[in-house]
Amino acid sequence: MDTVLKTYDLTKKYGEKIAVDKLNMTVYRGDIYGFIGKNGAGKTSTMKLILGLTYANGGNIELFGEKSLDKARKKIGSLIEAPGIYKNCTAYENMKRYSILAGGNGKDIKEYLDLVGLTNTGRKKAGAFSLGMKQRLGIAICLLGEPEFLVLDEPINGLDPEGIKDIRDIILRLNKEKGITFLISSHLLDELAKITTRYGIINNGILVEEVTAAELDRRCRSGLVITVNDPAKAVKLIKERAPEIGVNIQGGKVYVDKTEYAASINKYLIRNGLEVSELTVNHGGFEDYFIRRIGN
Amino acid sequence: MGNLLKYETRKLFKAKSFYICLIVLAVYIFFTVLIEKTLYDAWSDEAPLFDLPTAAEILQSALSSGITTIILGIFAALFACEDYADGTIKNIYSKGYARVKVYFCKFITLCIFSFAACVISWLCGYIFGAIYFDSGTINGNTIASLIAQFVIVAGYTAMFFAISMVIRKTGGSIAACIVAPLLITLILSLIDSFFNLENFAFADYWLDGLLTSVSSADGKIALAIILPVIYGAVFTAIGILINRRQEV
Repeated sequence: MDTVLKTYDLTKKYGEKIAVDKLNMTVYRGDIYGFIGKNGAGKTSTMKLILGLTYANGGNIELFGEKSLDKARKKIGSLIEAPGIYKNCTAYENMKRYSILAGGNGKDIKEYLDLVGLTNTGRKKAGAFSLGMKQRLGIAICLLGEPEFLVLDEPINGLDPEGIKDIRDIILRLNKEKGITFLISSHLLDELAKITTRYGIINNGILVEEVTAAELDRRCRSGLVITVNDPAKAVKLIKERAPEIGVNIQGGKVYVDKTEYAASINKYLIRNGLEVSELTVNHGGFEDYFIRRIGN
Repeated sequence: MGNLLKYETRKLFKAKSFYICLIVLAVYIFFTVLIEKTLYDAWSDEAPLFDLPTAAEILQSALSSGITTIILGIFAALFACEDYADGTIKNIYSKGYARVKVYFCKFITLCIFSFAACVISWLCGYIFGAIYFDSGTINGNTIASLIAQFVIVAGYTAMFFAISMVIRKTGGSIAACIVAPLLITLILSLIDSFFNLENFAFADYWLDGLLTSVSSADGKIALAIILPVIYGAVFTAIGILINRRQEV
């Protein structure tokens, strides 16, 4: 698969604090990569490193398979922290300036303002926009220059539910119709879950896990988690006894997709000579999974 | 770099402060000439305080009043710090433009303002001077003086721009740009007083001294062109060295 972004032991320190700690992440072309972590986990620092806004203390970044980052960054659009907009200018003037910067001819300005719902702002200065309008303008700006990769830091911050849905639809449309790859950070796990194809979970600067959406969905379903001395034998026994139950091994533990048979499964495994050291009922949900992984 | 220059020049010509600063300069020069005329008329019946200036002389001395450098410093700070104040600098760097290129494009664009300020000052000085006094003669020396004055102003531009790109905050940069020339002149004057050399003064070789020198008829033109280029190069190098490693 074609990679858009690959980092190798990427590290960033602010004084003694390690904000990004030997991060190895991969974003493939066509991904909508959800970058999740607590406040201060290192998401924004990582994005700033990718965009060249700050300098790494170690490691490397590869963009579009190229080592020349300045050239590769011309194919990237970004929205980091607060949108960078000229407060004394109208939405159109902001777009016009950035269109020049991106080497464009300005013909797509109206199209992108329409896309984010900012067509009728007229002569209103961007400084007088609401937070949601500023965010939309920031997104429109990062679409200029026909980028192949968009790096969005909390893009739905400050948006009302309708605005969140609009941005979600825009992202899905751009990903599907123009093949744009996305790297999105957000605290709103449920919203991210609606669009993301891959996840990266970061905590204290360390990339805890990278997982596809399908795999995460599977892990987040309700079920039993059994810690046993011989997981392979446990899976074989459960499958022989109840073939209709979904069962597999992850990280040395046995996962069963039904919670109803906890007692009988426990008894059966023990009767067949296995030592069950732990059996928990997982009630599922992305949030629980995320909190568990961060805790680990 | 072409796109970056177009971007910066669009920002320059769309900035209200660009036109306000030029208007302030024009108005200041008008009042300077008017005051000179008024004073002369008030005392001309008795002993005149000074010889009547010509429009050509006012043209040549238009930049030496000090207001030009103040206006230049204020505008340099406003222009350089705008992208940091609005957070738009992120959008420039993240598009893969190297810090050095960004620095030079902004500096070149600022020099357009400096040139415009010089031209406005000269034009207003000559036109208002011609209204109230005789035209005088514009010769090769005058033109050479004007060229040297622009190079000196470019040297100031480099200094103000470097200060602003290092501080990156509008208020602090404006204050630093106003204070820096005064401070440097003061320090050089103190050094001159300390050494008390007969035919040499450090202050004469600083931008301020050079500007005063070429604004009069017998200024040293060659020195007034070479030294500001050196000063400009030094300030630019310092500005780039510090700015390129700063985090955004």
